[in-house]
Amino acid sequence: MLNQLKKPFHKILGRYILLPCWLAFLLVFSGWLISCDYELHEVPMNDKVKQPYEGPPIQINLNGYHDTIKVGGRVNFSYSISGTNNKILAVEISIDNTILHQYVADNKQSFSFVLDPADLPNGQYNLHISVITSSGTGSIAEKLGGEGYQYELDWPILIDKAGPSGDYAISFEKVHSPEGVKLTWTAFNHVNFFNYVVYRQYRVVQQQPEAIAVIANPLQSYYIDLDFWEGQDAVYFVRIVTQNDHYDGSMCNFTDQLSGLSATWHNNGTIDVRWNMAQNTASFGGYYVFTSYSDTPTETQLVSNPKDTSCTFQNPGLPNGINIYFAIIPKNLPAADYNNLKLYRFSASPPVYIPLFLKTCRVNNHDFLLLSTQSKVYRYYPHSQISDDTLAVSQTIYELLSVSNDGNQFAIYDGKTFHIINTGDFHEVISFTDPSIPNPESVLCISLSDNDQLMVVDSWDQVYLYDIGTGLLINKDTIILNGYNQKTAVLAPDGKSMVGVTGSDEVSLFTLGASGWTITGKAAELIHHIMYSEDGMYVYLVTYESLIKRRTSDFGLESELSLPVGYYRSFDMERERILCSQYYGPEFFIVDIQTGEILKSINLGYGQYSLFKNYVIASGRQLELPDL
Amino acid sequence: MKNMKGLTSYLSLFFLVFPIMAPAQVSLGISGGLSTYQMNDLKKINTKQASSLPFETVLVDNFDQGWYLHTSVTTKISEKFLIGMVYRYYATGSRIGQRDYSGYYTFDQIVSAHFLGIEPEVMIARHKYIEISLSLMTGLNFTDWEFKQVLFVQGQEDKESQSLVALSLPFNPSLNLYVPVLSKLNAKISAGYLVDTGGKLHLKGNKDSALMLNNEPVKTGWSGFRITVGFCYNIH
Repeated sequence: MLNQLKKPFHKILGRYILLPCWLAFLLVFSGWLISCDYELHEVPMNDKVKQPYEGPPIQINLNGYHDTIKVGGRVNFSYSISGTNNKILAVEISIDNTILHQYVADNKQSFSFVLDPADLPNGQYNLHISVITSSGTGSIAEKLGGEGYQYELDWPILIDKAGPSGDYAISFEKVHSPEGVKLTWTAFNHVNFFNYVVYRQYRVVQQQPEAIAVIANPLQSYYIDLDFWEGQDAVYFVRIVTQNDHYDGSMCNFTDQLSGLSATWHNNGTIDVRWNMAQNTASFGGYYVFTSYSDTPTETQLVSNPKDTSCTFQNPGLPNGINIYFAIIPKNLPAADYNNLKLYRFSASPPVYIPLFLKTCRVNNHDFLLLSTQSKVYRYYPHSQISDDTLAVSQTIYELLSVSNDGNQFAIYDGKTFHIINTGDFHEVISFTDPSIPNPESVLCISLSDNDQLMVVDSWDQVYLYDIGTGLLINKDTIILNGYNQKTAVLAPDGKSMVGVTGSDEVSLFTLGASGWTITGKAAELIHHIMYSEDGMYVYLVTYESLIKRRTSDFGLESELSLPVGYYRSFDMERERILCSQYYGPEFFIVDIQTGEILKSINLGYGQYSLFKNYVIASGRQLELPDL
Repeated sequence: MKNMKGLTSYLSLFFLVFPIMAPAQVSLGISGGLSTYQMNDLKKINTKQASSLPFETVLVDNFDQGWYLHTSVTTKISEKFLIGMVYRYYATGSRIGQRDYSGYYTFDQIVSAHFLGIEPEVMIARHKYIEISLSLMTGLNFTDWEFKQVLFVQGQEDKESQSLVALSLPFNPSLNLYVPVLSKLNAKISAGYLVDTGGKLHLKGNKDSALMLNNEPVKTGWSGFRITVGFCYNIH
């Protein structure tokens, strides 16, 4: 220690003062440095990020609804959210505290959900929609999903699961301006409604109903069919289409009636047919009119102008009644379907303006005919359509009327008495009875000659010949006669011969001698009608196929004309023409017996007609033909 | 850090006793230095963390250059050769984060190292007042790494932290300049570059539980320039 004190002061100062101080400094400095942790700087405040206050308004598009959502069954909803650029973080949709949909942004879900109201009674509900979006500020909290805007919305929703039921019958009403058929049915105003589809079927031409209207408004429970077929019967029904199905109402018939149909017959053989103008011109395709004696059109007209309300049939003839068929053709209907339409049929008959009769008799050398009924005989002038000097009898067997070949007188038999009448003034020349005729009702045929003789044939094959001047019986023979309908025999104008049908296909000429009637000629013909020429030189034998002219003297064949068509109906001796017809058909023909030429064909319909000059005469009616 | 403080205590005792006991010329040095740090792997952690966040962050600190402590005990072997024991302490760190009205977020990495090694030194030039030497320092680098993540949003805070350690072998060649201040006190200026071989960060006591990034272990990166200014006190 003393040695140490002897050392120089600066050494003492160095070792015992400076060194400890150095060491102390070194120790303190080192400890300070080591004890200090590294100091990090504060993160500066990001002033660009502003605190949000209120979110932008958003719009939700939910299946396009703008007001109350209506649900009738299971519905798929999809929605979109607009009005903000902020990210949609979450969406929750619930109804009646039942969560229907939860969207979380990170789950990559779609904006859609399904609402099945099976467990919800019908009624009004609220669809609660909660939407959370980001704030869009870019803040830490926003980026971490801890900051955003929440939107709450209650959307009214109506649940109505009712489906259509009942018949949904349609009531019909014709409406005008424009013309149409208004269909009305019970509305189905429920949520499940999707649309009405109106079907129509014209069964006459359509195999299947045709949809003619689709109506999306449930309250519009009517439809005006402007394309209806006027005058036709249609079947309509309404199909109610629901969200997942459809329901058909009952089929209802609509019957449309046309009016104003009429016809006017003219004595030239034409008929004017009139109708009311079509009301529904929009679907007008034409007027279809035809005449017919049956179902087959005989004359057809198609009128294309809807304003035309009449047409004229040029060749209806002289029918006792002709059927007229009428329909309004729908536009674009194929012609093949015309006759399938509902056709309005009405019968048109010429007015009765001449006497109704049962038989006509030609009166040679006179301008009139004799018309016979059960109780009267008329003298009828075709050119003036006048009838006069009717002869009243108690009962006339109308077939038992015979006119002399010269036309001066005629004989009738009333079942008891023979009457000889002057055709000029209708006074009775003589009447007589014959008690030798065993049964008065057995008289089948009478024939009057120009020389005052009357031949009578009865059903007992007795042929009587009377002198009408005295009413006495001149001759009586038994001759077996036949005929078309009854026994047929015609006395010659001179009274010396007669021609009668003696077999089914045999006709004979009889000559009157001292021993009575003797057959002097025969011909094998199937006779329909027998008549003499005006001069009595010839006899005409009408068969079913020909007109045979034979001489009265020897019954030799003078000429034979094959009938070109049909069957004999009437003979115009003056003009040497005959009227023929088809067996049952309505078409008649006027044939020149000299040439066999068909001078005219004409539809007369069914009936008995007589040809007199240029007139065709039927019971009650007369047809005037142009001169041929 | 407690262990490091204990180590510091031992080192202080060493530096306190060693000069007295030292038989030869011994000098005690203390310096402060400025250093840079590469820390490439740790910077990648920041990049990856920033990219994984839903919000943008700013880089506040990025293992910036900083001061460090250097102490040494050097003994002279010959006229030109010296050898010393060296202790250095480094600390640096990084922070990425964001702050706005809604809260803040920080992601911090704080890394410190205690270096203990030897430093052979050779005098290459001597002037009347100036001595110049070259040295090569090497030893062990004990690294402590800690990260802290704090998220505070709308009044709620979430914290997370983790501590790891690493051991590496650095080399630090340097050029030294001595200038006498007093008879036994010299000023020392040194400039060099430290090459860190890198140590894997792992849980303390479990080297297999290493921090991985992109399937690669994260290593320390203390490499960087070292500039030191200090004093040396010659005891004998």
